[in-house]
Amino acid sequence: MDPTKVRLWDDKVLTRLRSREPGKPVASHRLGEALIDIQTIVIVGLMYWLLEEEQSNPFLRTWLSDNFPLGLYLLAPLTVAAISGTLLLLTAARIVLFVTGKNTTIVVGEVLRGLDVLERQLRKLVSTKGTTGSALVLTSFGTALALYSYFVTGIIPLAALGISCIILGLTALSLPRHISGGPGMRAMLQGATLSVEALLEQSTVGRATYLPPADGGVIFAYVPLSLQPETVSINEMKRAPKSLVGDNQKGLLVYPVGSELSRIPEFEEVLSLEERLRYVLVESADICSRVMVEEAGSVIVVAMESADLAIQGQKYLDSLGSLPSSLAACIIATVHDRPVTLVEERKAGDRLIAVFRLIT
Amino acid sequence: MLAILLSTSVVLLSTLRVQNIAVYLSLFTMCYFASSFVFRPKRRTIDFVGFGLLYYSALYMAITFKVL
Repeated sequence: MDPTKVRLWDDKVLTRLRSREPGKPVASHRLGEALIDIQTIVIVGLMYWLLEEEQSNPFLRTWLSDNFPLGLYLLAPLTVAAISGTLLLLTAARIVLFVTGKNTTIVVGEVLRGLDVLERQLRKLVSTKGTTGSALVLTSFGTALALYSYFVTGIIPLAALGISCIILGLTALSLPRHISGGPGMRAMLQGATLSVEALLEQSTVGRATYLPPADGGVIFAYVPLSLQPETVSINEMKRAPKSLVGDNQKGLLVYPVGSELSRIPEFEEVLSLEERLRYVLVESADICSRVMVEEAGSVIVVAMESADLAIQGQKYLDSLGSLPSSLAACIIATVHDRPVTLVEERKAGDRLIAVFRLIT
Repeated sequence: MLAILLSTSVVLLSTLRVQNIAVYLSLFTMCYFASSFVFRPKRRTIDFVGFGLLYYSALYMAITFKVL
């Protein structure tokens, strides 16, 4: 992996890394983009003209009422404003993407993939999460009530009640499933690191390799007992002793704090890496406020906002990394079912950037 | 808390016979951001509800006051 690209993640704070450099757009591509934007602006202009015409021309209103009643609702001032506003927002976003050189095809592809995942997520949420299912029902009910009250019956307070239901439903959807962190959880996590800290206290340790769970087992971390990197195969790592047995020992296996994370029932569902990291680090342990993930080949970069770095001891930090990174490494090893090592971690403002590498 | 604030807003404005949806939306936006400011909840995603409310209430208020 090119180190300059890794640096780029820090500088751009994990904006999406493109595998190809933005090339010079060809003339036809530019023309196509411009035509789409012009068409959108023309559509907005036409909608505004139709609205003006509908309000000043009684004949048009009568004709619409007789032949196309839906047109009357579509040409309501606030409907026109909502549609035009949304179109203009999308056009502005397209222009920004075009000017900044980002490939809209990739963005659209990501959106489509996101929608595909969203469908599965929605099905799962409705079936498994009571509160989320209720939130979806509330949002749907609110949408129906708002549309019916505004367009059909014309009762504004009822439409407002529908909008408030939508706000409540969407807010409930955006909140975490549960918050169980806090000072108590941090104290327990700190206690959990102490046994590893005591085990490694008298030794010189190198960067650990997190080994994925085998046959539903736990996650181990192989800690080399020297600073110099030695070529130890994965099988040798798995067979390493779990305690200090002699002076010529190359390394040992320890149970990292996140060694049982592969056994969380929710992880049997199809959750993305970012979703799992958020579940553990933000919603359960509450040791950071936000998680972002970028994957490029065998390199995985995880950015954690407001990460708590004062939990683990020095030896734990030197070998297994800070506690948020250690937990992230356990989850990455489980998701990819491959050994993973923490390449580096550093602070970038309020964020902790951890770079992991999957080992084949 | 947000539910109480929103339903109180609807009852209050409907009692005052307000028929402009922009007024409702603006009050909802204020209630939403006030409760977010007080409770500071953690979120799974970006605050898309807040962004949406801010955008559409600003748009509707601009139309109401004939700015646009």
